[in-house]
Amino acid sequence: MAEKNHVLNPAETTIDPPIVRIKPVQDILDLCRSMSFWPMTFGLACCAIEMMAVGMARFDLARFGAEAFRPSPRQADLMIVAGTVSRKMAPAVVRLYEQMPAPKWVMALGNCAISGGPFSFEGQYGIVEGVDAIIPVDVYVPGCPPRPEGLLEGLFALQQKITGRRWWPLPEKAVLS
Amino acid sequence: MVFEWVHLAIVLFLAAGALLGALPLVASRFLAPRSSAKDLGLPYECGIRPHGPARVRFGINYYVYALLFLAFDVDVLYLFPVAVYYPHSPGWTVFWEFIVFLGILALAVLYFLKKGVFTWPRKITF
Amino acid sequence: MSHATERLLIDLCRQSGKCIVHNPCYPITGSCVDISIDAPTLLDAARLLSDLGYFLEDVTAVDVSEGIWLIYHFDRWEASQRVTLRVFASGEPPSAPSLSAIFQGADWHERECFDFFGVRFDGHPNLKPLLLPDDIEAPPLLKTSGKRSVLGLIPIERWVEDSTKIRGAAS
Repeated sequence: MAEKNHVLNPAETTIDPPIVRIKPVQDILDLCRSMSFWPMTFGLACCAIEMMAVGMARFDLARFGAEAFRPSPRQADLMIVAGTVSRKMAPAVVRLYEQMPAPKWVMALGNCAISGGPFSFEGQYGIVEGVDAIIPVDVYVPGCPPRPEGLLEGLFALQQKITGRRWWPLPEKAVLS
Repeated sequence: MVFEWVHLAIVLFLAAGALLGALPLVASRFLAPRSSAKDLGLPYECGIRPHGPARVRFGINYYVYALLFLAFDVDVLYLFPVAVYYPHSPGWTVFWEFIVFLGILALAVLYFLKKGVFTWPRKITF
Repeated sequence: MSHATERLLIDLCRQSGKCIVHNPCYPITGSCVDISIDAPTLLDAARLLSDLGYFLEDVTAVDVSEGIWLIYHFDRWEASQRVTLRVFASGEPPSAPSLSAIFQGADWHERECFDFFGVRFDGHPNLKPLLLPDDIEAPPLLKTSGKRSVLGLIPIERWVEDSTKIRGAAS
């Protein structure tokens, strides 16, 4: 990305592994954590609307345990970066990521958070082209904006990353009649 | 003190309550990963570095609430001995004295009502 | 109504001697009054419009070959009677008086113009970048090539040089 104007400071976080490392216990804890994410609402742009739609009745996120959206990073474990991150906002994103306690995960929702989306061009002066330039991302959900089902699939992919398997049935192929 | 099983139950209840509070803290210290970062300890979570002093001027018109509280607190203090004596008192005398006392308190409430203390947006002018 | 505003603005500008009235062409531009004034008159014109009940809609700028052209839009609440004022930001760095004492909404618009065009506003209470980070080097919307002239941006038939020629303005 074009960074000749200024420097992006990525997040400096070190995560120490737990003191007691008994695998079955950690597996159970990972399962519990992945079934009850507390997302931090980081809706910056249009993808925030999709995130709100997921939290609402039709594409209910509460079915999968993640309906407790916390505005404070200190009470959240999943940071859903939904929208365009501008260079002015980048230090705030980094600071909030650093203020999240471990274990923490990041979902980049939408093309702007993945790679700058429609704003990535030669000579981009104001937008961070991809939030993974400043914080480590665990799951990428493409789309502009992604469908709410896309966010749910991203959640399932994150659960698979943490626990090792997918817990929900795959969507059936649509039958065109 | 004679040992009774209910005492043990109370002590166990106290211990269980303390454990309920302490167990998640201790367990997370041992079972969860720990994160350490540069800006982890910032006092506010707005994303911006806090600037300016933490002491701000407190609105002086909140003193009315302190005044109200003090007045009724002292009234309640006076009412404690009344409450103790009331079941043993003969006749209606204590009752009417009590009503007079409460009536004077109600006058104070009426005064503050007219001053506009109980409606929030109005500025208190004395 | 807009003619009255135009007349008042022209009378104001006549004291400083310089203004150029454009034919606003409402169906194309949406403006009822379109006047180019110079920077010292801007504050008086803004005060006049504020007294007449106009609110500030927008402060924007165009990078033309003659310099930086600031464009102010004012409008009214009751009916759409948009007034456009055009001012050249002069000097090095380009600067213009700030309207934030008269219209508080100009504060952020002027910060945005400072951000993207580098225009300094004299008398602005807080001239910091609004949308771009503080450490940006060059204002992004300044053209490096392909600058047009104002004559190209407003068609020549819309320029009315002599303000006495139009619509019986009081002299």
